[in-house]
Parts: sequence; C-alpha cells; structure tokens
Amino acid sequence: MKNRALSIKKLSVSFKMNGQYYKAVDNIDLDIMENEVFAIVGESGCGKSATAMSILRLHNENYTKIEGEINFGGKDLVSISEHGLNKIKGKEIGMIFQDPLSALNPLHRIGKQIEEMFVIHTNLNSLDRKNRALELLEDVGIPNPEIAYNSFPHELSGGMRQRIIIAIALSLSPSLLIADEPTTALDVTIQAQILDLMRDLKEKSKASVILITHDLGVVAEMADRVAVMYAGQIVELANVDEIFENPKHPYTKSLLSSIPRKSKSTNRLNTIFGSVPDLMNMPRDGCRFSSRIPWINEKEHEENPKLQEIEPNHFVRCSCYKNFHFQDSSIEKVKEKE
Amino acid sequence: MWKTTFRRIIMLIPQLIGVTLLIFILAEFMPGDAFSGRFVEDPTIGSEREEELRELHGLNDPWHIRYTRWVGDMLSGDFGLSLVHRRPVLEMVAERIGNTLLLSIVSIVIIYSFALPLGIIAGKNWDKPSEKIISFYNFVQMSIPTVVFAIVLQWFFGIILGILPLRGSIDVRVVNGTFFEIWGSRLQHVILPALSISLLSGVSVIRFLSNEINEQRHLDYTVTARAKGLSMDKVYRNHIFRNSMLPIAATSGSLIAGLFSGVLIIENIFTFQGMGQLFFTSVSQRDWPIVNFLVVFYSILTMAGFLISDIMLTIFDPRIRIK
Amino acid sequence: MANILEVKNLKVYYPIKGGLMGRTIGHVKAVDDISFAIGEGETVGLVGESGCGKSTTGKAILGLVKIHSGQIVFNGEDITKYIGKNRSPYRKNVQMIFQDVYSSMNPKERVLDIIAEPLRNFEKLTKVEERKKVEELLSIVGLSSSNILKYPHQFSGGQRQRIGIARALALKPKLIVCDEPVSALDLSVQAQVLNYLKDIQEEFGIAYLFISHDLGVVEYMCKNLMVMHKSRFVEKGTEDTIYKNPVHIYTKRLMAATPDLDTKNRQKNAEIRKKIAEEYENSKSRYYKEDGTVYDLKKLSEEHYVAMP
Repeated sequence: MKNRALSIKKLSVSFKMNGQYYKAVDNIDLDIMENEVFAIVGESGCGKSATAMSILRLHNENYTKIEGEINFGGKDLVSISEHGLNKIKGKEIGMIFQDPLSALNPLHRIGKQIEEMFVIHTNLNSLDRKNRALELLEDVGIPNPEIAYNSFPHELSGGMRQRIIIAIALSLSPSLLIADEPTTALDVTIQAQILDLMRDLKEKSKASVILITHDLGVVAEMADRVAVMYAGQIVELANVDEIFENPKHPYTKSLLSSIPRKSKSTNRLNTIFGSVPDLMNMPRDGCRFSSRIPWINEKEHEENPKLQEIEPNHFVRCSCYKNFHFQDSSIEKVKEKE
Repeated sequence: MWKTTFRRIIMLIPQLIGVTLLIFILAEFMPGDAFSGRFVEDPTIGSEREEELRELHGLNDPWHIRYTRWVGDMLSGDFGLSLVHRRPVLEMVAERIGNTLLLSIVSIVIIYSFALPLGIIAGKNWDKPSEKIISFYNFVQMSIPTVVFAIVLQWFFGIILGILPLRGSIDVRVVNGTFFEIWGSRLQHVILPALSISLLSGVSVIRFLSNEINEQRHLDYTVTARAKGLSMDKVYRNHIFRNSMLPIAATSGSLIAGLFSGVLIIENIFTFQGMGQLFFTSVSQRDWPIVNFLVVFYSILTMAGFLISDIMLTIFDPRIRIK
Repeated sequence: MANILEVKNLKVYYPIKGGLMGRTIGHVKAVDDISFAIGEGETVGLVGESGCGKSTTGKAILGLVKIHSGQIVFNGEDITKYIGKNRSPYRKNVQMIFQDVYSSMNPKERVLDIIAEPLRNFEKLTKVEERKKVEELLSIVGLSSSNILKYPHQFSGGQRQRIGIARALALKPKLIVCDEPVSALDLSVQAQVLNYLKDIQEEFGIAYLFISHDLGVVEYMCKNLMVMHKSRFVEKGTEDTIYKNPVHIYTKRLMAATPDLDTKNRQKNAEIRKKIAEEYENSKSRYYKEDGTVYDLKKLSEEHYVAMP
C-alpha cells in the first residue's frame, strides 16, 4: 500500500461576491498517493483550479474562505500559520502555472527568478546558486543555459518559458507538484514536449503530481488516477483506464462523447443540454447534474448524493448513472431555453 | 539604444520648426510691430522716418525671410532685446531662471517624498480604510483650483500662523547678507509656492502608483512569487514595487514638463521672481521678444521631458529595450 | 464540383522598418506563396501552430491584410483588386468567424444591432423585416428571439460564438472563414458549435475554410486538409491520405504530438515522438532548404502533395 502524499478532507472554497460567500468547491475529499499523477479534470467553473490554488492558499485572502483540512507531511495547510506555510511553498510543494509569460516577472532575468528559490529556502552562496540554476536549466532541456540564464522572459519562446517555470518548481526537489493547466497556452508539439519532460522528471524525482486540466487528451497521456469535477463537486473518481474505458457518471460519459474523433465523423457530436450554472446560481441540493439531463426521470437521482465506491477504486456520485442514456436524437433538436 | 535616442532627437527638429512657425505666425497676427506707436509723442520723427526704420530693420521683408532671420539669430545665440526694458532677452531670463529652477526642484522633491509613500500605502491597502482616506484626500485636492489652494495656503501660513512670507522670492533686507541669510530667506520664500504646486501635482502620482500596485498585485507573476514561499511583504518589496515604479519613472519626464505650466501660474500668485512671472508681465506689456523666447524655451523643455520619459522607459523596461 | 474560391501564389509580406529614417529594410514573410482551392459547400482545413501564417491567410482572403502578390479568384472571377473595397459583392459573399468573438463585438451594441450590421451595410430592410430576419438567424443557431435586446456580456462564451455565427450567416455567404472558432470554448460547448457549423453547411451549402491548431477538430470537420508551417504548406491533400500516411516530418511531428485518448498507447506514443524528434534532427535537409525554409509542394498522387525536393 502506497503512502499518502497529500490528504484533502471536507475541503470547501468560497469566494466573496457582492458581499456574500459562494462555494466554488464544495466538500471535497481526496487522497493523493506518493509518486502518482492525479488529474482533476472538468470544464471552466467546475472548481478544479480553485481546489489546486487552495492547497497553497494562493487565492486573494480578502475574498476567499477555505474550510476543511489539507494534510501534508503531518501539517494542516488550511490552519498552519502564514510563516509555516511559506516554508512549505516552493520547497516541498512546487507549482506550475498555465500562462508561462505572465507567471514570470517581466523585469527580472531568468537566472534571478530561479535563484530566488535558493535565496528564500537555502543558504547557498551566489556562485552555488548560479551553478544550480544552470544545472536546472539543462535538466529541463534548455539548449543554451548560459544564454537563457541572462535572458528576460519575453526573449524566450512559450515552450522555453514553460520549461523555466518547471525548473523553478523543481529547483528544491519538492515531493508534490501542482500543475495548473500546464500546457493549455502552448502549441501541440510544444505541449507534447512539455508533457514528455514532466513525465521523465517525475520518474526521476519520484514526486507526486496534481494535474489540473480541461483537456481529456492530456489526462489520457499523463494521469494515473482521475477525478472528474462538476459544479464544485467530484462526480467520478477512478483509475485513468477506468475513466476512459468504463466511464459511469453521465457527465463523464457526455464529455467523452463530445470529443471530436475521426471514427465518429459521420455522426453529430454529443452536446450537453443547457449550460454550466455560474457560481451564484449553483444548485446546492440533490444531484447537481440533473438539470443537464432533464430527460432522465427525477426518481433516478438521489436526494443527497454522495461519492460511492461502486467497483473497487471506482467512485461515482448519484445513482442516476445506473439508468443513464443519452438524449434521443429526435429530442436533441429541442432548442435550449435561454 | 543610442540609435533610438539619436533618432528621437532628430525627430525633434521638425517639431521645433513647427512650434517656432506657429509662434511666428501668431506674432504676425498681432496688430502693430516694434515701431508702431513708438514715436507718436516725438514730433521729430515723422511717419516717413518710421517707414525708413522699418525698411532698415527688415520689417518689410517677406515673412519667410524674417522667419529664417529670427531662427538664425536664435541659433547663433542672439535672442534680441526686450522692447520694454531695452535689455538683452537672455540677460533678463538669466536673472530669473535660478529662482524658477529652485522652485521646480523643491516641488519635485516634495512631490516624490509624499506622493510615493502615500501611493504605496493606498495600493497595498486597496479597499481598506487607509486607501479610502487617501482617495478622499485625492478627491478633495483635485477639486480645488490651483489659485484657490494657493490663496488658502497664503492665508493659513502667512496670515493666521504668520510663519512664512506671503510673496516674493527673497527678503530685500538680506540681499546683501551672508550666504546663510540669503539661502535661508530664499528657502523660506519658496516653501509656499512649492507646496501649492506639489500637493496638487502629487495627486496624479498617488493615484497612478496606487492603481498600478493594485493591478500588479493581481498579476500571475505575484502568484508565482507567493508560490515560491515569499512572504507578502517580500513579494511587495522584491516584485510589485519595482514593477509599479516603472510607469512612474516613465511619466516623470512629462510630470516635470507639466510642472513648468504650474509654475507659470503659481509664480504670479506669489509674485515670485521667476520666469513664469516674467512671462506674464511680458505678455501684458506686449514684449514679444521675451514672450517668443519663453514659448520656444518651454516647448523645448516639454519635448525634452517626454524624450527623457521615453529613454527612462527603455532603460528600465527590458521588454522595449532595442537590441 | 466547381470551386468557390481559388487562391493562387498568395504572398503576404510585412515590412520591417529600420535605419535612421524608418525605411523598409526587409520583409517578414507571413504567407509565402501558397495556392489552394475550396469547392462549393466544402470544408477545407488549415492546420498549423501559432505564427505559421494560417490566420494571416484567412485575413488575406477577407481583405483584412494587404496582399503582397498573388491572385484570389472567387466564383471564377479574379477579385484581387476589389478585395479591400468595403461594399463589394465579394465582401457580402465571404464572411468570417473569429476565435475571440467577444472582442469582435461592440460591447455597447445589442444582439439585434450586432447581427443586423452586415444587413444594414448591404440590404435595405425595414425595421420590421430586419428584426424578423435577426430572429430567424438566432433560431438557426439555437438562441430564442427573447435574446434580441441583450448585450454581448450577458451571454456565455458558447452563446457568443453562436451569435458570431448568426452574424456571419446574415448575408447568406458562399464562404465562411472560421478562424479557430472553438479553441476558446469548453469541450461540450465546442461540440455544440461544431454541430451548428455542420448543420448550417448542410442547410445552406456554405463552404468553410476551417483554420485550427486542433487536429481532432479538423479531422472531424474537414475532408481536405492543408498543413501549414513556416508560412508555407508542407502537406496538402485529403484528410484520409494525410492522416494515414503523413510524409513531411512536420506533419508527422504534429500528429504524434496530438494527445491520444487511448491510455494503453501512452508509452508507444512517447517512443514514436522520440523517434520522430531524432529523425527531425538527422534529416532536416530532406525536408527543409538550406536556409531553413520549406520546399515547394510536389505531387505524390491526385490527393496528396508534400513539400520536398
């Protein structure tokens, strides 16, 4: 049995809007095991990024409320002091962001931005810092480390910048890496390079990775286990093969069938009825997905659906998955009510 | 970078030609010239002699010849004589420029020494009471006309408290005094006008800086900095402040250029013996050589201000540095 | 099948200014000598990565950028000269759908005005007719007529994209240039928009130039395909032949980089990518000229062209 790298218990994240708090993440339980890639996937507004950002409390504190527990190395990251958390940030938990250009300070040279990690967390002298930074640049596959070291972010390509971000995240060999849409801003060929690099580095460092993404292709390429989120909740959690070959929850099934694929090019793509409710109008009771599958009888839904283990290591929320079927194509033409 | 700077300087030439042309044309439209009305009370000089003098001084030449002569004279350092005082323009300006320079420098020092800290406090505490108070101060300050504000300062410090002189640039009694007496008096006289200029001009710096800090704080790179394990204080110190100062440095040139126009008005209110006051009296006395010179002078200063801004930006912001 | 659009030797160059006086000292070749044709009611895909020139190609067809040289033939007529003219019949027949549709809409205009704008430019309709037409267009893209007085910000991304489609449809164009129409959208919304595009094509016989970086989407939408790289085409042909038998190294790289949904292929795909990367390093001269540019297209078969010496 593997050990837990991170354990999230009853986590809720609320954002303040118009003076009131709204839950973007609602009561989530998650265990991230050592040396695994755990993907959280879902469409915009499902709460996947809010979950990731709350682990290091990176939200604007004035507008955010975090409840629950996040256990990491015997400490609760939700209640730990700012000072205590700062010692973990970067050093034990690294973070990779979506847009590598805006995630770097435009006025600092690359070398300085990498070395900042050593300045914060180590006592290395400036020569050692520089040598470590150059080594890191080489590790992440940058062809001319010396040149990159002295460059400003805007002088590098998108792919190179994301490598820099990865170098920063890996600089102190953290045991957990949080990657928030790490390849969304990149071209496909660059995306493949970055994903291959992340996979290699992960194998070497034995770190765990939490991968936040909306791209099921990236999930299929990278993840060991997957949580599918919808409207602030996890609706399905299973091994990656299970998710793609044996999806259970209507939302997972709908997502998978809306991916354009050659084999289906004669058919219409599946779409999901209606649209994702925004934060202020999020349903709070019952099955949150029920409004997106109105042709399913109300009786199929649980009153208070919980994530349940229906097969070993395969969790699904709400019993509506049992008798779910796609909308009849004749009714599909029914236009949305705006 | 030198190439760009050089190109920018070259580009100033057509602008300068434009400005001087404009001034020249405006002066053309003014009724009368240097001789009209001058000899009305002198019966020995008839209108024929007046016409001769015009011919002699080239006033009847076509406009483009007179324009090039004027510009050529300026280029060779000859700015002409004051019509009223019969003294070289340059000499009269030189007497005043020291005072104006002192006033400007003191104003700039005051602006940055109070506006930067206030801007930082407001930016850091966005939406909190301290920012609201500073914003309220800004609002009040902005809605007061310069003249009114200057008069209020005069009334409060000069009359109620009686600790600062109301007007002038130096106490006549110490003109022949020791070095310390002279400078003490000069500084005393410069405080009120400098305050009137800087408190008002400082508002834009405060607003600009606080907005910028608030904006920078929400950019992704600050999240990266926090994720590295920096405390919020250090994120401010190592990242946000420097990045927020960039536009401040960039606008400093134009701020200084703008300062001169503030100086024009303020010097008059305080009858401060500077170039602004010289400008106003010269306009009212139709002393065109002085007016023309000052307009050209201020135009060059303004252009230089903007040029300096641009150069500062290329120095501080690597993104627009020219390779 | 007749061609609705033929592009011949299209070049779009942007001048590089330099020197003391800002003279033109060179050109950036954004699009460098490409030719292709689109048949009536057909969808042609144009794939490539950012900066390869695919968007510029789309803009050139709409006359939004200056054409350096080349010819654009619409419906058998050379219209290169008129392309920049605002109200030419060509501009009525060719429309565009943008990726960032929100920025292409005036936030202060209502849906009615946004969709009616092309109508007002080209057709003289009464207020009543215009409104009826807009309602009709909205219903084509699945939006109810109650939306007609709303503003763009009141819609979700997918709905806005559909409003953009309705606007493009207003003049019953023969060709729509779709520039990354779904890349900013969530998966389920993307599916919806793609479905609408297909339905509309069937109903009105509109041809699409479908510009995208996403091979999956292109595969789903298009029968013919052009792969663009470094401002030129590296491969051109039917989608079938290219996907089954990619010849140019760049096409291979692009295809190997596209994520595979089958988790069992993970290891295999990574190895394929490694092999292709090696091939790319070792045999650059086979695929690129000495100065790094792409060769002219060479015919392999009626359905397959590739850029090789």
